[in-house]
Amino acid sequence: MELLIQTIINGLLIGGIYITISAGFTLCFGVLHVIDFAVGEWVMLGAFITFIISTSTHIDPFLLLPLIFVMFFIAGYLLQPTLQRVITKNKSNALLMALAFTFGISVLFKGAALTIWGFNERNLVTILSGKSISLLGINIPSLRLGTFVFAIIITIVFLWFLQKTRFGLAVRAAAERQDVAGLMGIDSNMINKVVYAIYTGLTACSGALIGAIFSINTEMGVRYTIFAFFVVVAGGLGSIEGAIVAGILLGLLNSFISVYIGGQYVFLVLFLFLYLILLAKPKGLLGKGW
Amino acid sequence: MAKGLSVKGLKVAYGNIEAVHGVSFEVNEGEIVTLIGANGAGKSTILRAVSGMIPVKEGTVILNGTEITSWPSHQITGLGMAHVPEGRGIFTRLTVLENLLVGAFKRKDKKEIDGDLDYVLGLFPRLNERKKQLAGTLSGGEQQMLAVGRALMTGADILLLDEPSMGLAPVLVESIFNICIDIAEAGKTILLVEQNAAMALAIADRGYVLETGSIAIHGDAEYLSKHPDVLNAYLGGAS
Repeated sequence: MELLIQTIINGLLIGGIYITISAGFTLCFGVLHVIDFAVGEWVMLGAFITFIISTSTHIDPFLLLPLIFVMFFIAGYLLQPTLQRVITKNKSNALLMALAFTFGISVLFKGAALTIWGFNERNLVTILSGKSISLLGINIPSLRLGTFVFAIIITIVFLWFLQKTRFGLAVRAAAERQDVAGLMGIDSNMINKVVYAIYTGLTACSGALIGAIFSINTEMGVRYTIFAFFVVVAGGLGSIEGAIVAGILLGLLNSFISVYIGGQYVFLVLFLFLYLILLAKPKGLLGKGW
Repeated sequence: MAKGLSVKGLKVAYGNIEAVHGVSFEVNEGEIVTLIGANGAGKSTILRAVSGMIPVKEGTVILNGTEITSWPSHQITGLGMAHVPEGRGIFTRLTVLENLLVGAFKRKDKKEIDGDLDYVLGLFPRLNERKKQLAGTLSGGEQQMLAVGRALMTGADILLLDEPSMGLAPVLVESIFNICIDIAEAGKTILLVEQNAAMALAIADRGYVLETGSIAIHGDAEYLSKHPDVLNAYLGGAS
């Protein structure tokens, strides 16, 4: 019984981070119609940059989150026009071009990281590392709780921006019809740049959080690319609410599979679940996707 | 500065295929002008080129004295012209109220926006009743009202309406045209593109008849509605 509760809590706490990754990834797909193959590499880069800054300045990784967001926001903002040109140059194959381009980006990022930082594992140490809270016999690692709280805060700020601000309204309008949004005075090129920038910023922040929980290495990215795909497809393409539900589900599945079946079966069972979800609910768990 | 829309020698091409071959027309302040013609004559293409949704190959578009030829549509918004696109193009995943507020995206003056919002919701009480609903749940007629209301929210004086009657039940078609009259009486200028020539000519001051990318006939609405060619081709024969 205690193991069960422990597993559920671990799953929920980890799920929070998956939500942060998938919220940005989903928005990116919803607005730009780009499936970013490099999502996991943004996670990896976020973790590494956080590690480097944190070890050289001795500032706690949690406090670095705003800086990481800004840095990767700028990176995404500068990269997006190139991506945009690749997609619009060959309109009939926009989706495929985006996949090829972002796949190239992911190889580039991973290769560069491998060259610069090598294979060694690194650990991101925060003020919460190694501590834990005991609650009714259940052991909750402070670090996981902390990252969960940060992930939820980031996601709430993100949703607030999308739902309550004038710019967020423009983003949601452009997500549905860029041409009509243009008629309303919304510059879709600008929206696209900002959306991609928010996505890279959010993803890098979740990389910092992931790096605090697990170890960091240059090969870590692909795992999160697969997770992001799982969440976005299971939640329904383009549905942020669905991504939140699927993110929690992913955390729980991960935790349960690792404890009750074995860590090496995570992907196998995960994709069995994805298969079943797609059979039963092709538009995603909430039925709100495409 | 002459208020209104003036289009001269407009040519539009899709790839290598020219769809509009040098069309000129004018819409003066306070007028209802209609552009009628068969399916595929290029009516929607003209509107889309005028409002910057597709590039202009040749010719000039002048709005209220400013040349706006080939400007991207988001830069044209706010200069006093709004385009209600074919198929309405409402944002189905936004609420009715949000759709209207998107229309006011470029405007800063909160008081003016609120004033126009009250005006639009007064004009379309149905939208007022449903303002918290997702726009995708509205009926076709309500969606058309929303598209017109959203265009009004941009603060425009000139409305380009692309096939507002399309896909609507006859009783609704009539109410949409009545709305056009109401808006015109409130001082707005309207360029109405329609396949329903009879209805369009009934409410318009002037009209242009478009045939395969060129203007074939133009004149007062009354003149056009009695013109034998128009009668035969668009009004179901002289009866």
